[in-house]
Amino acid sequence: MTNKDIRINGAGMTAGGDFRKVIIRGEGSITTDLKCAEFICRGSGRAMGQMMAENVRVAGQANFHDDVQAKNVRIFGQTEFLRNVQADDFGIWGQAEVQGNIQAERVRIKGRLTVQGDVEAERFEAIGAFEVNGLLNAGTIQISVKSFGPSKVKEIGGDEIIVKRRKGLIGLLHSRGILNAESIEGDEIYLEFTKAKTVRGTNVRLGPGCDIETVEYKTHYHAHEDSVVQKYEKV
Amino acid sequence: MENELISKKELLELTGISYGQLYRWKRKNLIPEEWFIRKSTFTGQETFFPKQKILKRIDKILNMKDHLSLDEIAAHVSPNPAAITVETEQLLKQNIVSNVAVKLFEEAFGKKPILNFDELLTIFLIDQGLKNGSISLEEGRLLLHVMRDHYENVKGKNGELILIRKLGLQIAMIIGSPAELFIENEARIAYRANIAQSIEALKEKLEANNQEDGNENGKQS
Repeated sequence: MTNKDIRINGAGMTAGGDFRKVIIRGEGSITTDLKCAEFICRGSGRAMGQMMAENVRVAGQANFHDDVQAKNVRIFGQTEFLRNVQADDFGIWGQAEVQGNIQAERVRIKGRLTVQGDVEAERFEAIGAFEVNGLLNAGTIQISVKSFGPSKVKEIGGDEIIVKRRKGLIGLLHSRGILNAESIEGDEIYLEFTKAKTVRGTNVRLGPGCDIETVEYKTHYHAHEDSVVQKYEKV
Repeated sequence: MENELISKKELLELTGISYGQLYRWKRKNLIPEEWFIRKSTFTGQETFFPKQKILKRIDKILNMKDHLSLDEIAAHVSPNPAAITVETEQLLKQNIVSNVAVKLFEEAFGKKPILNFDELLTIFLIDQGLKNGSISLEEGRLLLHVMRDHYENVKGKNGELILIRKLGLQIAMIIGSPAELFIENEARIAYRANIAQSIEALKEKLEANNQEDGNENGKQS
């Protein structure tokens, strides 16, 4: 790896290449494929080619027009990925939209995430609102629904799936967070405040606030009295 | 019967695997995306699989998962021939290379239950020479070592593996191709193999065997 840096302060446009640090402070565009150890965007940035980086950090606003492959991706500002994201650790504190798929070891959402494709991860942790229009497939899925509004996933699949409502700062105010899904399938499932068509699993436990059309379970099933289940069967 | 589908629910009942396992294998690319076929039924969207293929694949995974990691199995079932790995045992069973060549390889580099494509190629090249009688076992050993030490340099480009004999002395070498080679009159080229051509031949052999298996490896691009 080289020890050259790119720094854009003000407005600038440059071609990509192989660099150590790439820092955009004003408004900058990288017009071709970029390989770097560190990509930091504090202003408004645009990467038009593929991005391969150790660390990607967006504190302002950024658009990635092609695939992004990185060890760590941290989004504090607002970011749009027009294609796929592949990362070891993908953390969102701000707001991100991914038009393609996400493939990661770990996804952490503390802000807001919208994904048009699928999400694959070993761990998926969400506090806050998110939307996955394809399949969310992860080993461990922990979702805290909060008062930010509803979260939506088309399909969820994994080993362990836990959805819980987390109380807001003011415990007196009723939290309205809810998760909507078409189907949820896993080995160990615990759900609260979830609306779904089908839930299938080895052990299915439903806490309060669920509205499920069909539950299919293999070993164990239990539903809280404040949940509505139209049909359940042992298969 | 070839195109018969099986629903996800039936599949899990039949094989005894769990949802968690199925999703994990999908994440690890043990089961290709195209096999997940979504269809509308009266109960909503359901996922179906091509029955023969998925049952065969799950059987394979269940057999391998005790002694191999999921990543190793993934490499094994990968459609990309360059990423293919083969079980040594399977290799012999399918008669892709001879026992003698494998033994030679194992003596030199130790026993390996799983071979990657480059290792397999090395064995294949030596096997060709042994089979047509152009090299001896001792010379095969020389070729093994030259492949290990220098194949990296011509990988992705074309190259030739060569063995030259002169007065009871042997020299093994790899040269980049295209290259012209002129040697003195007393020396003789005992063995000369074009590596790119051998790769193709090997892939074809693997694919032919996979098709006999009814297995789709190597067919997908």
